[in-house]
Amino acid sequence: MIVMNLELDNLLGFDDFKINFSYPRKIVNSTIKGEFLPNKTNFRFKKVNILLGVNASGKTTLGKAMMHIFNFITHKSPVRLLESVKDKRRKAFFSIDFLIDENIMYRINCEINLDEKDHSKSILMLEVYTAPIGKRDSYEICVRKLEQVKVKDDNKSSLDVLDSVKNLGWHFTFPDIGNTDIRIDKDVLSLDILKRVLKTLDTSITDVQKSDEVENSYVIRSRNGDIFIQNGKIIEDILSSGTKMGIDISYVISSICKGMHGFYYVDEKFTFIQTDIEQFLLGIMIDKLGPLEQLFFTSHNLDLLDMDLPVHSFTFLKKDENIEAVYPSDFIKKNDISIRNAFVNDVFGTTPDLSQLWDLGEFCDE
Amino acid sequence: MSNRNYNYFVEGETEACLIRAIRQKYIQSGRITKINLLEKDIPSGFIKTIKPFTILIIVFDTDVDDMKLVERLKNNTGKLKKSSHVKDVILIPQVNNLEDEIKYATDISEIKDLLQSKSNKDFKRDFCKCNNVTDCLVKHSFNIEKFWSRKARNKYSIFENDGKKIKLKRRR
Repeated sequence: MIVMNLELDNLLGFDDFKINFSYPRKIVNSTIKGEFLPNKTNFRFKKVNILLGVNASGKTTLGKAMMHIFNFITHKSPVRLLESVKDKRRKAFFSIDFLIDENIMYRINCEINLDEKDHSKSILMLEVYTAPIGKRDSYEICVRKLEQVKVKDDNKSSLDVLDSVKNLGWHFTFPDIGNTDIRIDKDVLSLDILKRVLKTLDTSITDVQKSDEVENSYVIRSRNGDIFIQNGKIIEDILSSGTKMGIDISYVISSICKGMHGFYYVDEKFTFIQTDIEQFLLGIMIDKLGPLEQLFFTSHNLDLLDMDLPVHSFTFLKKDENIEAVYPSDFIKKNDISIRNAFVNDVFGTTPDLSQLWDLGEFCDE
Repeated sequence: MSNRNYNYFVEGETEACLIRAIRQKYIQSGRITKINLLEKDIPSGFIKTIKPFTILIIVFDTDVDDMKLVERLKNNTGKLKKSSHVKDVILIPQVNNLEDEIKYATDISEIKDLLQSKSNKDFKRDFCKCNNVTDCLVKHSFNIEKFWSRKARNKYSIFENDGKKIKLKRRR
């Protein structure tokens, strides 16, 4: 699945928020292969989206908003969306443009009038639009071709219009909730990938073996003792924070290699992991993405800005009054300019404001 | 853009808003920190965080003619220059403050005229809310060569105005 555009208003931390995932011009010798639809090269999309931003700028919340929307589209259950309405007295809204294959682009607009006392009485105004993607069409052309899908059967509810959208796939992994998919998709995690990732993260690990006795379980052989992982959960917790993250990361890489989900949102999984390892593993994820797949990767690591990736792969989220998306590609037009240097010099207006910290030492003296 | 890092120290939000508006167009872009280095000593913790090849730009008002303030700025500048990571410390004395600098570099006689503020007092608030500061400056014949170009005539006259070092040459 590919998300092309997302608009959020009065949902989670977002007000009047827009983020777009198309890019204007073909990139010559791009290090990311196939950032366009197969055989439809004018339909360009950002296959890799590295989201950076200071703390509380909305990186995790954006993932959660997308997750709620995907769940709503697939299961027609608006519960999470209704819980996400920020100002209960005001209408909330989302609009999402996406594709599941190379033939049709979808737009779903949804306006939410929340009934504060009884959520089940809330009113959802739902519109689904589709546009066929022609051989020479770009995203922008398809936007102009969008036509509304009507529910013809009077007995059906307005939510049934979502029946026209099928086969959405996604995988979200957040630092606080870990990777629940390991429990469900038992055969996805590759032992070879897990072994190599964990041995890189912890040199005391000598081997990783799949348990013959307990289902969906692994034994990590370490010079400090054996560690048992069952359903993605570590039984004896003697691993470092970074090594623990390695299990989730191995799952993500395994599922990308197997083309399991098509859409991946990897949220700050590398906080405890050394920067060279983060860059290397991100590089592998990017290389292994399939033709109609998309990766979202959030991080605080500015070293990622030095990776040899197109400028459009990077988006900053920044929060002043509202959260907004800032695209370095709007500021940097030449390839010979360092994105990192531009960031450090606050060209994008996204460096953290440290003014509050200047007096901190004086409080310690007191 | 070279590998140099620019870091502006300004007294308040109005200066920060101005720099955000004119950087990349008239002056080098750089990180902005709101701190009055005439009134506060530079924390030694900050000096450890300065990145290599950093150029520090201190923008300060000169309307309070007080030798204590001058001495503190001198002292802070000296501390910063000692860091091997600091390539240069550029001082920009505003004569006498931001409002006077804007008036000097444009065709307005009162600061409220820049944004049609109700009064001169409302200017700061309006300025920070304005999202087309550059257009308003251009409309009033903003001359970047005149802006941040003067040396103070009071106790601050010991500081040269090195504003020209951070001005971009390609655009007027």
